[in-house]
Amino acid sequence: MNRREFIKKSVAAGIVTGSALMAAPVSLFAEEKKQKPYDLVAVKGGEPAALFDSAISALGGMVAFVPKNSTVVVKPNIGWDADPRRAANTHPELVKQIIRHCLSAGAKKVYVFDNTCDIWTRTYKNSGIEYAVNDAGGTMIPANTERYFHPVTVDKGKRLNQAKVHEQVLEADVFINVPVLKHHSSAKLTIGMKNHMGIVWDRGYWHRNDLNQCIADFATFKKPDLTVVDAYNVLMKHGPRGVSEKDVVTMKSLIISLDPVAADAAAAKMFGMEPSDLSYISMAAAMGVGNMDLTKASIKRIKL
Amino acid sequence: MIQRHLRSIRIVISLFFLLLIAGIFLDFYDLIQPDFIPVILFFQVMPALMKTLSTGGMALFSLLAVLGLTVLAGRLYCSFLCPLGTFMDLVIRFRPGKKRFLWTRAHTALRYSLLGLTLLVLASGSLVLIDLLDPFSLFGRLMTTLFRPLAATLNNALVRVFESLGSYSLVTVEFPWANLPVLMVCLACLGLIVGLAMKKGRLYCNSLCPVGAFLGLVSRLSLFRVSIDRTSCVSCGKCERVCKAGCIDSKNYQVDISRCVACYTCLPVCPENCINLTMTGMPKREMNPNRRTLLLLVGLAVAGFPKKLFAQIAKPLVYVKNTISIMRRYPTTPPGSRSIAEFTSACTGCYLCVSHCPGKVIQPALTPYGSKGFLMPRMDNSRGFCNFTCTTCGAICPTGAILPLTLDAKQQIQIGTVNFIRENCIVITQKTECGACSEHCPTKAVAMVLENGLRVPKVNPKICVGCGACEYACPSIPYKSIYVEGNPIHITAEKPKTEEIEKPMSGDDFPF
Repeated sequence: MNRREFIKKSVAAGIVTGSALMAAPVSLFAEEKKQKPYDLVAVKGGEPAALFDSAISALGGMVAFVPKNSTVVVKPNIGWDADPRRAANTHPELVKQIIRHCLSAGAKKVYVFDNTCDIWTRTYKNSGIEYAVNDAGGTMIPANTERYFHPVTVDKGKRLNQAKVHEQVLEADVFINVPVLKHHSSAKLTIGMKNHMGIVWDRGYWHRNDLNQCIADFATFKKPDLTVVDAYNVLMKHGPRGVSEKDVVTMKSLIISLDPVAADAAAAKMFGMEPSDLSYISMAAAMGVGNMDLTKASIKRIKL
Repeated sequence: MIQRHLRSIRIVISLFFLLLIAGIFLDFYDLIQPDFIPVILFFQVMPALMKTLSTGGMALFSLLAVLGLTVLAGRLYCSFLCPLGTFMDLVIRFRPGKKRFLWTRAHTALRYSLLGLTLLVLASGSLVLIDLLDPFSLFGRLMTTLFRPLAATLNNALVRVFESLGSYSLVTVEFPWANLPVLMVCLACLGLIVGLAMKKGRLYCNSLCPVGAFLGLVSRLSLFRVSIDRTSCVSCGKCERVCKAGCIDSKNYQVDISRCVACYTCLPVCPENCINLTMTGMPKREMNPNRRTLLLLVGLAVAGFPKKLFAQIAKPLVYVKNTISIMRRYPTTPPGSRSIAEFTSACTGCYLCVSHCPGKVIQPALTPYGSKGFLMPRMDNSRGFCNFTCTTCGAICPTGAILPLTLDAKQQIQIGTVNFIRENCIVITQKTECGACSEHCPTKAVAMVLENGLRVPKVNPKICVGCGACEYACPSIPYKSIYVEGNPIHITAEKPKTEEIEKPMSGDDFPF
């Protein structure tokens, strides 16, 4: 342990102790309800941080997902060199709030990254996410070189049998997927399962080998502990990159779910599409990744 | 006595400029602000000349400043300001087996005929000799193609060390090597520069360098110059032996001022203090024995100059066939370069843009524009694409080959247009969704249109800016299904249409 790390750890330990005391009632509540109270929580009518606060407390607080001293990967969409108003990337305020909750739940380290489409240094910066992460006490890490990605086998995959996955996702105790809901020229909509393309190295393979099937295939390999869908600003057309702010509609909504298929299904409905319109949702449901029939899900609906 | 310290002062100033200039070529963490780069490069003669010729304006002051310095005290540029000169000085300083220098005969015919030829070729519209010989551009090229990948490799090794200690504070830099022909040329240049410096000191500057030759002519007028006081000189030859330009003839008490690079190494070694920087009147006009040769060569060059050879523009680049042949008629030049003709008449191939392009799309090539553009860079969409929100290359180009643009202007300049090869496209051949091209398109000049239940790319060249993101992203192998054809003259693209969006749901209820 070097000096810097020692200082960081001491400070972190202080924060953990302090916040554990403060969060004590919530922790007790979570202990009582070991069973997760809902499959899915949908919130609307607030700012990104407030949306997340109410959604996560409906699920028993972040302590229900993040063990003490754990390493967490928070994976927003940071694919594009566009500012937050363009809604091409996850809202930085949401990312910031998630990191704060993780750290106060006792996480040792919160890593944030994306294998970006535009130049990574510019997307990290111009999305506002790098600043938000540093501000919240998380660590922004690179994913710009193949060296960080390690081969895995996707046993249940129909078209995708091998992929290279970022080492922090493979090593982390908790994986929180934080996609932004938006229109997408290839997959119709990009939500949670499509956002996994940012934790793998070779996206071109997916595009060549039935994109929708590959998205579903990979979902059988990596199931996030939590999918948090940012639908605060929603890019309604010209996605996934968008051309201007005129492509964006403000919905002030958030979906949070333990089931990645249900999260995508609910977000698709919010966008105005049926889950069955998106073939990767149907494929993933058929492969047993999760449930796309929202009538069978226990849903908590909150209006702020 | 101050003159004894001139050498030390020169070393400090020259190292300062060398480090700064090398720094801007190696700066992969973007520590140096782009606005500061023109300041660092203020004194670079050839970029300033090209900028003056192509755009006029402030660059003229750079030229006047260097000319003024030369008239004042000879070729100060060569030892104080020229990065290649200082690089050679370092090679000379640390060469093995400390050989002494001796006075050598001037290569007058070679240097002035090369200068004349360079200017003639320039007048005919080709920068081929300037590209090859200009010391600043040559230095930049060596830095970009050879030293930058080495520095990146070193950085990446350090990154691994840091990461093994759990720190992500350094980041891996991907900096690919230039293509093989360019790399070979640059390696040969490095070999020539290092070899000449080790064996013959500053011979490059007094034989091949057009800037050295030109400043050599001007320095014949200089006010302060190194000269030997015959009355006290004992002809010990110490000054001659340290003169890396080989311009001191101690037997005859002569210093060839046109070859003196003003390094002032000779001043402190004289035991009698008889070699000094002295103020002289206007120089005596001596008949140069080689003047006739020079005139003859220039005449021959004018008469026999193969103009046709240099008049070709932009040979078609033939790309390998897939199911149908892809023919790119024109390479793409960076936004701000206005046209292939204007770009190739000002670019000296220093590769500063190559070093700084965050999208790594500006890449050097051997002859991308036929014989007009030897070693010049062009947009290579197999390596990257032009970032829609970036205006770096225009902001830093020292020669005016790429002019600065505002972001608004840049986002509407069409440097090329998109072409779609339907028969190669994954959606057609594999009958599965893809759309990577449209995803990356910043203006949606590539849109996806429903066809038999699948979305197929449809291109609208009118709103295309030619950034090449579609071509870079296209995952079809072995050949791309979408590519950018360069515009030989850049034009303005139409603005993408914006339409009002219907809100997906009414009321405050959840749709599930």
